[in-house]
Amino acid sequence: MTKYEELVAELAPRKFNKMGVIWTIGLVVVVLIGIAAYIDQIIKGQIVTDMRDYVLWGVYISNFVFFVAISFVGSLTAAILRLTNKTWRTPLVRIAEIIALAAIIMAGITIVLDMGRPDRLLNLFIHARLQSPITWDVIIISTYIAISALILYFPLLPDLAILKDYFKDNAFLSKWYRILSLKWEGSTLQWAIQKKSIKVVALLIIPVALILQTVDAWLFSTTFRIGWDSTNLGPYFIAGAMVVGVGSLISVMFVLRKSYKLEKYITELHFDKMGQLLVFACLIYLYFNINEYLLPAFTAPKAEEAHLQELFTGHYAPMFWFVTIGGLIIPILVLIFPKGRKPFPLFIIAILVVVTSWWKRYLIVVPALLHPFVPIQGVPESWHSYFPSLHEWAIVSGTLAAALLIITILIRYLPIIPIHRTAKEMGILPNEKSEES
Amino acid sequence: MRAFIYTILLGFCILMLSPLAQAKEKARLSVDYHKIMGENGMLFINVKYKVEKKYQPATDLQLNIYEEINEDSIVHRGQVITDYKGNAQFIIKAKGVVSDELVKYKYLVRIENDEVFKDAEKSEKFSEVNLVAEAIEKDSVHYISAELTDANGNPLEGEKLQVIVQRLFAPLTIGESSYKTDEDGAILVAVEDPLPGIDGNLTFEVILESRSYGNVKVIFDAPIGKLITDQSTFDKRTMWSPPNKTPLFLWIFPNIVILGIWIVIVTLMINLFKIYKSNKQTKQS
Repeated sequence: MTKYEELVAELAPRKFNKMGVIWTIGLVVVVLIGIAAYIDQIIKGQIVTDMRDYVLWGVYISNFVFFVAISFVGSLTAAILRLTNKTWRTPLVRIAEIIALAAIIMAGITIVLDMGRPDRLLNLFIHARLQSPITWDVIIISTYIAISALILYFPLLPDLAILKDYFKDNAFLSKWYRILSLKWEGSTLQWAIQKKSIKVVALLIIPVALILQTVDAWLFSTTFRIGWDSTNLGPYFIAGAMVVGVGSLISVMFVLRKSYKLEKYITELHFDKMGQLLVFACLIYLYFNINEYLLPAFTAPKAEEAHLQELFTGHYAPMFWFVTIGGLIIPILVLIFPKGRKPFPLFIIAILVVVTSWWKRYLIVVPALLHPFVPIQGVPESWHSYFPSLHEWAIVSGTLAAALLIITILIRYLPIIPIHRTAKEMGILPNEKSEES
Repeated sequence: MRAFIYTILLGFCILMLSPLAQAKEKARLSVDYHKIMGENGMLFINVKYKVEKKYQPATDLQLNIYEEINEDSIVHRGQVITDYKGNAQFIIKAKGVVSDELVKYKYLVRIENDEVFKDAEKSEKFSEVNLVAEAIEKDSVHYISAELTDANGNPLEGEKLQVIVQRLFAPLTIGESSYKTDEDGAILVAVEDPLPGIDGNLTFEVILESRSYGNVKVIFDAPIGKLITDQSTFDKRTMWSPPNKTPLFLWIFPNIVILGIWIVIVTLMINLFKIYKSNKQTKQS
């Protein structure tokens, strides 16, 4: 067995072990519970949620913002590292691309869940107003899904061709890899087209990702509400997306490294680099957080003051300080030291960052809605507060599980680490396959 | 002893039979006469009844309207049905010939043979008046001049008239809350502050609220307001208009960006096809 064949055997997709099977079944169960809750919501209407006249964007929208933010990792790591030609990126980019694709697909689906009736999706196109950020969001999400799929697919072509040969004993898999590889043979023309296309798509995804995050922020800032009425919100969302994007990538990297024994390929260097990126992202996000909360605290009109008080010392204070300290201060303090960027501590910090990022979106959406400029009159007292109902929790858990399921399925059938590129970097590529630039 | 037993039995029977003979509700009627000069007069009717010490509107209740021509003769004028608030309006299109020198009319509103409510009646008496008003200008000051006369053209002295100007949310009283008419049945009220109005027009109302004459008002426009122009953006292309009135810059630039991005995406998809086809070309060559 040559070194190349050994590498292919190590990096080719593998069947799940017992834990992998349990994990997948667990995700399927959560997704099914979410689907059942959603069907019940369609039958009974959104009365099953806790959303009322005050909080009309509840946990569905905060979850949507979370997915959009995570999808930023695709452009951040995949495109920027590609364009800057950082060689250490190789084992990370595909994981980032898979996470981005799964997250943006689920972001699109979450919009439909919030509509109450899925057929209303059609209204977004039939009655689209180009003045509305919701229309911009629909356009940019569908565009980002297409680009995320392309940035994942183009670099996969040589690997799919390798897998077609590797799985030649499995007719079914081999057939699918042959179809998906577009009969890749590694000809000069194919390499030229692929290389050019990757460059174009990597260039394209960066502005589109920035537009996506900005439009997502404008959904809020164009609505005249306390806490949202800010010119700062676009860059604030981009900085937040960097944090959660890198955090999610580190988390998945760590799990895959352990599960597939990839220590040889995903090394401590990669964790160190990603740790540096995360602390950098956290510092930028902290800067925007100070801007977002400190200045209004000085100049706040009465309604804004009530909103800030609610966050700093009121009902949402425990959540606010958990998110701020756990999601920003602790990561910065831990990750500035090289020991904090070792795989395990970094993984713990990354998980903390992802969890607090989810609640951060909740804090962006919900408390702002509880303090409208003009109070809503004649509504029951219970409508003045919000906490997601069981249906909402079931559906949101279903979407989170579905995102993880998409990642799991893609990991099951695609090579997590680019085989061809790794072989080339290791200098073990057979001559006939080494035409890549 | 026997008398006592009979009394107990009688009481028991009354108690047992009482639900069968359900008592009808007693309705409370109120009727007011309203008239805007130049239009038909109208009876504003409200019907309510008491349930557990609280008044509730009597809804969907049919009421008969009669006009009393004299003590021996009444004429049925029509029917109305109360709405969800217990209100009904009856437009007086025809009136009987009244020989009375004061020209008094009397209308009767009756609940008759209703399943829920007892028969009830309420009358409303009123005399016709003439109320005319206009805006005049004296020494560069604008005034509202109004004159009140009875049906025979005699001035009505000592009646209270209120002058208001219509505004968007609620009427604005001009001057004092009311002015008494002089011996000529007239009032003269100065409009001291210049009020803004669309195209300079103001809509005034002079109102008489009287037991004898009902609620009578005259409404008229006067071009004595401070000129403001309609600033509606309804027909303009704005950020808040419907899709067919999207601002042009929003049509042009985002569509150029969207089109540009999607041209690149389609080109990339064509590249995938080219990769697929290049294999065949290699084989052929």
